Amino acid sequence: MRYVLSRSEENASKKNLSAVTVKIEGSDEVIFIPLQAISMLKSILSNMAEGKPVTLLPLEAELSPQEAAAMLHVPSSFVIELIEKGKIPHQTTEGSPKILFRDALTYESQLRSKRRENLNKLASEAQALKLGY
Amino acid sequence: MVALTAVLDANVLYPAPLRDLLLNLADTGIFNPKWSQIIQQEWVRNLLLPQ
Repeated sequence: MRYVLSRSEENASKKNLSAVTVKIEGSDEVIFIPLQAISMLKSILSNMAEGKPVTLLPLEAELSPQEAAAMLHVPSSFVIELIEKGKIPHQTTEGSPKILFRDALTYESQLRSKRRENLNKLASEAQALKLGY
Repeated sequence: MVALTAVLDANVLYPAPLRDLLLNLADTGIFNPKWSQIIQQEWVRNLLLPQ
């Protein structure tokens, strides 16, 4: 089935519309897609075109330590350590620890800003000590 | 996301500007930097050598 956009996203945003209208060829069906969803679709499709796997997860999804580890690019033993040390919120469902996707995202952004901070510290220290700069 | 993994050897971890360039690039997510404890010891040893 082919989907035809009756208005481009650019047109829609110029006219300040909050949705685009999609008419399905060969049928009378018309659907409205909010602009926000259009940009999401765009990024999903471009990732798929590059052969990258795409997963949609609700914020309330429960991740196993293994799934959270894959998302954070760390070993799962590290995630289990975080849980044991209480450094990431978790809940225990049927005896196994689960991390909310929302909490994993929060942890990821904290990790990222900590890393940025450390990289900047490292660079200014090297410059202060004239280590090759 | 599937990112490349690159091993950073001691010779790119010690000249500090090169290390900072590579680690900042890695931070943008284009590759995963990895190094071993032996590599870590090697660049620290070189850093501590009398100039």
